[in-house]
Amino acid sequence: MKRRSFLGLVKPTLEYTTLAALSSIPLKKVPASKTATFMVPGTMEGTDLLALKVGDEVKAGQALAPIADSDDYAISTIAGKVTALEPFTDAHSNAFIAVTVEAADDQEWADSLGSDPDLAAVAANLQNGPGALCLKPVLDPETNINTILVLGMDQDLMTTAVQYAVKTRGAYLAKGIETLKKITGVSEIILVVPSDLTGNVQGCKCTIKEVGASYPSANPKLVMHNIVGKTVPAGKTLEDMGVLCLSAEAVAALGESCETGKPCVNKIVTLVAKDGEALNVQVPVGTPIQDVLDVKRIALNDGDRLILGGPMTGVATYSTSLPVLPGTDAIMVQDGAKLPEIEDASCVNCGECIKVCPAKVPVNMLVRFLENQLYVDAAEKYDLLSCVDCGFCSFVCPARIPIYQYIGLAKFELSRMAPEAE
Amino acid sequence: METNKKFVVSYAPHCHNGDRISKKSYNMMLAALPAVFFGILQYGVAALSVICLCVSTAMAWELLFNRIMKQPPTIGDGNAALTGLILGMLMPPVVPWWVIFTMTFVTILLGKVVYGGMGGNPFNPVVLGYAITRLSWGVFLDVDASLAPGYIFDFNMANPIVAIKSAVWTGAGADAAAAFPPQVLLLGQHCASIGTMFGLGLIVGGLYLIVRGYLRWELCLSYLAGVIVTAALFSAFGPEGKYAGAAFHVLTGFTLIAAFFFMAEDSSTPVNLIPMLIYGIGAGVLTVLIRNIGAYPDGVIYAFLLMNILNPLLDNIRPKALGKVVENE
Repeated sequence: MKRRSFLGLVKPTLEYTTLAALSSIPLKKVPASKTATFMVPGTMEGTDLLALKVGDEVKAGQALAPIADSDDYAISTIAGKVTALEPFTDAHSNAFIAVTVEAADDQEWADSLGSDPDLAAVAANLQNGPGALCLKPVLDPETNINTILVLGMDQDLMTTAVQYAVKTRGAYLAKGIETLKKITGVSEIILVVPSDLTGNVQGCKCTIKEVGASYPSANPKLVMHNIVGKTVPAGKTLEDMGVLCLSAEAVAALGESCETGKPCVNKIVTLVAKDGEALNVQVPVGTPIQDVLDVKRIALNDGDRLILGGPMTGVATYSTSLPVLPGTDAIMVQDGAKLPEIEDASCVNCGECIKVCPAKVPVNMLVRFLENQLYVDAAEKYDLLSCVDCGFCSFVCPARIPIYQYIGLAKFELSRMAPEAE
Repeated sequence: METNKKFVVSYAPHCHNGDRISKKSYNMMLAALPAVFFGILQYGVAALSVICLCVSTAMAWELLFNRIMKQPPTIGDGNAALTGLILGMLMPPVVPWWVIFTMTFVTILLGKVVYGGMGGNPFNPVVLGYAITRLSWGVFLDVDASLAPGYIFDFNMANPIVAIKSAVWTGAGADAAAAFPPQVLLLGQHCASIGTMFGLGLIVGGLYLIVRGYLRWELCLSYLAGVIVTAALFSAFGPEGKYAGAAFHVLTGFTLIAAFFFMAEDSSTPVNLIPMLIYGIGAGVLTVLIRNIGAYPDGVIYAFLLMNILNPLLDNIRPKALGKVVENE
């Protein structure tokens, strides 16, 4: 990882990894595993209501919806039998039902999508595919989506999965954008790609913009501010502005699914080994992480760190049996001996975070409030909600304060307080 | 396949640029070394003992307070040693040991510990500790008095900043300052406290800190600009020959050590651009005002104490955060 440079006079920068650095390495394909696990949002409470039971036969590409009256589902990437339904809570306290499917010998595909699907068919069959396509805001009558922002750039450092999809799946991406335009009726579609990939997306019939090479310029809120020219007010989301933000990989998967008539199940994942060497693999969603690690024969030991996502914003996890999710752009492992330590120190007011913050948040003041759990004051007086979640402040903090964790906790606590206040 | 390996689970980011507080402390001490070595060379082993006593007692007091408050020791971050070193640089070559003991005690306790340690202090601990000691036993911190018993140099042995103070009252400050041309002050051929004699050494150390990013150039340059402009205005528009020029004010007293080392103390200085400029210019203007029309020979200490108080207010002037909504009332 990049160290503090000798010349500290200028503002430190972090550069995204571009595909140019990886172009010589071909995409490795991970075959579908014996068992796959799919996460469907929802809780297991009231088990008798579950629409899916252990022992049910499922087809590849079928929407798995364990809760009968819910719109949430996951796409099974293999055909077989349901062997387990378990509750699962992720690192941000979101509840899921983990559906485990054991592969059958005969891989039969579901054909509920049909040719030339309309919005209802796409919404019922293709959401939460590779890249985590989410069309809920379009379906919601209260949200008026007038723009779709397609991000053709990875959000985190060292990750090149989305760029890889843009580079190698340009035709599907163009088809996906066309389909989106048709089924949603949204005419304004903006595709954002890094400068070296503009040549790969010329077939896309939409507005194409370039994104900068320095982290975190591909952050959706910063793309809105710097490239689209609309600033998302603090505490609001892109959807509140009428903008739906999708990953280019999700749009390409949509294009492929519509072209072939069966749901695309393969996710591109950047695998980063302990020595920092990266490699893109193609893997069916739901495959255990262990299968992906085996591609590079990565052995993990006690005290190592296994991260879903990139080094700046990824989520460290505890088991290699967890599945690759539709939004897992990277799997990264770190050697336990080389982990940077975090300290319980107080802020020394050095101002490094102020220098790097892309949202101009007064982090030095903010962190004092967050340490003392004054979340409402932090949001009202010190711009907590302007934060775009890039983690840069923690990266440069010489006192090694887990600033980004404080911010994440504060936002979580505020979101819990909001319904209580009503 | 279920593995029983225990991984480290922690919140993002999972990388760091490797910076830590101790690196700044040690780099600042490194930057101070040219000036400190020159002072020791000039004043001999007495100065060395003052520096050593300052550094060691500052560290000892901090360790003691850590123990009393049952906190993990913080002297490893180098801040106590750095505080001691800068205090030592402000000392004349001969100081009674008990003055140093008391001074470092007050500096660490009232400058740092009572506010919860490094980062919580509203005042620069060095400035506060020096000010209290100066008011209590000023005579022991007086360079001229300290040199009188034994030191003999082949240059003008009057402390310039004190020499000029009495000359200003009689309206002959510029003449008095002419006895100390800039090259003499830069190369340390004059009498001052241990670490402030060698102007060139301080400048080199300061430039190193700026280049390394441990000292914000905005603070340093705005302070020097404040001193230069105010001093130039005094000498241009004041009575003929009464006030010394800008070069004299920059190169004497604590101006250089303040510009390059006091300004690098993070907790008492602002972090946003406009506040940094106001802070620097304000401290510069006050320094010269106190020197030229105040009662004290050197205005740096009180100028900094005053600006320290203003710092939290100044730092409210900050850029608008992304997407901040200003509600009209």
